Order: sequence, then C-alpha cells, then structure tokens
Amino acid sequence: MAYNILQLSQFPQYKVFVSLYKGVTNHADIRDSIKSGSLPDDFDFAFLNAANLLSMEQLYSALFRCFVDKRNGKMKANTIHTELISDLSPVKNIMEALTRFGIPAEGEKSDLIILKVIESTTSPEKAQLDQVYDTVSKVVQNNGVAGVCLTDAALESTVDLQSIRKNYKLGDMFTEDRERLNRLIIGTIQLRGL
Amino acid sequence: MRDQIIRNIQSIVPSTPLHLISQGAEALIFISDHHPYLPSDLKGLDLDNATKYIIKYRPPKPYRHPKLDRQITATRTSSEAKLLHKLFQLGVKAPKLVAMDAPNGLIWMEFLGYKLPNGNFSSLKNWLWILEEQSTKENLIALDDNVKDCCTSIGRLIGILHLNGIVHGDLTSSNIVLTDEETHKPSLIDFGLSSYSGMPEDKAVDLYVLERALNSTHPVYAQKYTEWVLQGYHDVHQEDGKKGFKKYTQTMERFKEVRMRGRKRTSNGD
Repeated sequence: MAYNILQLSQFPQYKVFVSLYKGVTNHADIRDSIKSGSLPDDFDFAFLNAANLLSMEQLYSALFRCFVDKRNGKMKANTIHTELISDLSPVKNIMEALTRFGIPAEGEKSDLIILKVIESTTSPEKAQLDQVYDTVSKVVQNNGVAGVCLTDAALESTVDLQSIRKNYKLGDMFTEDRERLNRLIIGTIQLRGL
Repeated sequence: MRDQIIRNIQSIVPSTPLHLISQGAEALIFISDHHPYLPSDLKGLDLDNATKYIIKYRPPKPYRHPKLDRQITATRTSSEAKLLHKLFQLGVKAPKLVAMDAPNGLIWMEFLGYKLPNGNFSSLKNWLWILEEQSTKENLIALDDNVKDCCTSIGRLIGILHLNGIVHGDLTSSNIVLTDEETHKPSLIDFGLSSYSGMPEDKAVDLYVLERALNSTHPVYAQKYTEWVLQGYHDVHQEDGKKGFKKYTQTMERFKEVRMRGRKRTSNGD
C-alpha cells in the first residue's frame, strides 16, 4: 500500500493525503455513488482524472490557489475538495470542471488520483492515514494493484497531452514542450476567474 | 511605516524568509529563497533561477476605505499577473508568473538577472555604468558590439510589446535586466504601470520615457544607445510586414511630436 502526504510551507495546517490508482475499473460506479450520495458520510475525497496532470508542480499550484482562496473567503465551491478540482480547471463553471477534471465518464479503465485534505495542527498519526487509505481501497478497484505514491515519475505514465490540450482549451498555444506547457497551465490555474 | 508593512506581509506569508530589495510608491519588492508552494525537493520546471523568487507586495493604503482598498489592490495585482502571463504566451522575455494572492496584493514571480563583476545587480543601468567607467578614448567598450546587440534586442522587445498592443509605462535602464552573463539577453521587468493600448501616442510616450531615462543616466553615450534601441524597434516592425510598418511610421511621427512637447499633453486637447 502506498500514499504520500503533501504539505505547503505557507499553510502548515493542511496535510494532503494523496494516492494514485492506475487502471481503475469501477470509476463509473464511483461516479454514480458520489452523484447519488449513497457513499458513507466519512467518504470525502477529491477524485482527479490523472490524464490531466502533467506535473506535481501543477497540483501544488492548484492546492495553493485553493488554500489562498479559502483563507480570503473566496471559495466558489461548497467543499474544499470540489474547490480543488475546480482550481485545476480553466473555466469558472464547477460542473464542467468536475466533468473534465474529476472522474472520467467514459472509458473502461481510468487512472485516478485520490486526495484528502486533512486539517490538523499536529502531524496526523500513521494509523489515521492508514485508515484513510483503507477507506479508499475498499471502494476503488484496480485488479488488486492498489494505490501508489504520486510523484512526477508516476505521472509520466498517466498524463495524456491531448487531454490537457482539450481540457485547458489551449488550441494553437498547445505545445509538446513540457516546460512551456507546464507554465501555461500554472498561469491558467493562478489566474482562473480573474 | 515600513516596519508595519513588513509585519503585514510576514503575517500573510508566515515561515517564509523575505528580504526587502526595493520600495516604490505602490509596491515593495522582496526576494525569498522559498518557493510559494513547492517543497524544497521539487523545482519549477522552466525557471531561470530555481533558488530565488521575487515577491511583489502592494500593501494596504491606510487612507482608502478598507473594502475599496482591497478591491483596488486585487484588480491591480491580478492585472499585472495577467500581463506577465500574457507576455509568456507571446514569447516575450519577462519574469514568469509563479503564484498570486490578489486580495492581499501579492505576486510571486521568477527571479531574473545575475551579479555583475562589481557585485551589483545586472540591470542595464549597472552594466552600462561599468562599461562606461572602463571606457577609454582608445578603447570605447561602452560602444562595443555586445552593447549594440543588447540595445537592439531591447528595441525589439519593446516593438513586440507594442505590436501586441501593450505599453510598458515605465521604461528606464533600471527596469531592463540582463538575464544571461554571456549573451546579455535583456528582459523587461516591472509591469506595474503597464496597460493595453494601440495608440501611437502611448507607444511614443513609452519610447520617449526611455530616451529621457537613458539621457539622464548615461549622458555621454545615450545618443548611441537610443539610436540602437530604435533600430531594433524599427526592425521588428518591418519584419511584421506592411501593417507593422504602418504602425511604426505612425508611432515615430508621434514620437517626434512628443519629443518637442514632453511627455504630458497640453490641456487644450491637442
């Protein structure tokens, strides 16, 4: 079993649990359960389609934006997890952000990044984190592979540049140069809706 | 006053060492070795310098109503950040946008520049001052080919800005930075007074402000510097084709008028 914890030095009160599940087979079911609200109350996570994530920098950039907006009372969504998903999106519309950046609606298999923002002034105990991981593992099926740590190396196998081109609405600006593409995305995340 | 401002920013950005490097009327500039959101083992993929970041801070103005103040600060901060990103999209060398907190007046951007042999920061001004000091009658290094190339590149940068309908608003030799020790590739910085304008008047004033700045900071060689800058400005318009060249002619006509009358227009509506 594998997950990692992300932290931003400016926001020490947040610890972000994150794990990457490759080849998920039941994403459509998860999507339906979330929509219908049939999951237990403590099942509160952000699900991201890994195809749209080029770098850890991109994710950190969205987390920063999310925490800054929360501090400034500028959150657009009701929960921090929905806010985070919409912070990855170039458009204001939250439903559209969930469709494009959340759990994919189509395809037999998907790569999902599962995140949980934990607010805590102290370091969360390993037992508590393991329990979070167990909760995820019970719901997400990927032929027993389970989750792996989310790193830049792991993202190389899950990113889909064409999906990024489409979902970030880059058009002519799209480039395969990852450094440039990365900066285009980061600017979009920092400036969304302004 | 200044201490209060620094306490303010430190409360918004805790646990981040900040080093004040300049204070203007509207904003303070800090350097920090902390990335705003990346852990120390990750680096920005495409930044010139991944060890230092510039933080531009617009502090609250005590004489404005707090709500209005926050709004004005947010608007100015985000429009400057948007402009930086726009320049990146256009491929114009300028500091890249790293992060922003608009209501608090904060922008994090890429650090550009390096230390000159005398320890000073590599602004165009500081670089030219060294060369001017070392110049002799026999060896006029202040007018060397690399200075010429640098000046024409600056003219080209300004030209691209203007062709895209952007005026810098505060072109001085301190707001131009050399980003590479070998090639002296220049970059414009401080877009706090920039705006969108396609008007020959605004572009001409941009050029005029730079000419005046060069004249006063580099009196001996300014004429050559300006000539080279305008050469680059000309070239980039010409390469843009007929349309670009028309814009160039209009701006230069206006430039002559601005030179005669000064930066400010007369009040009788000329």
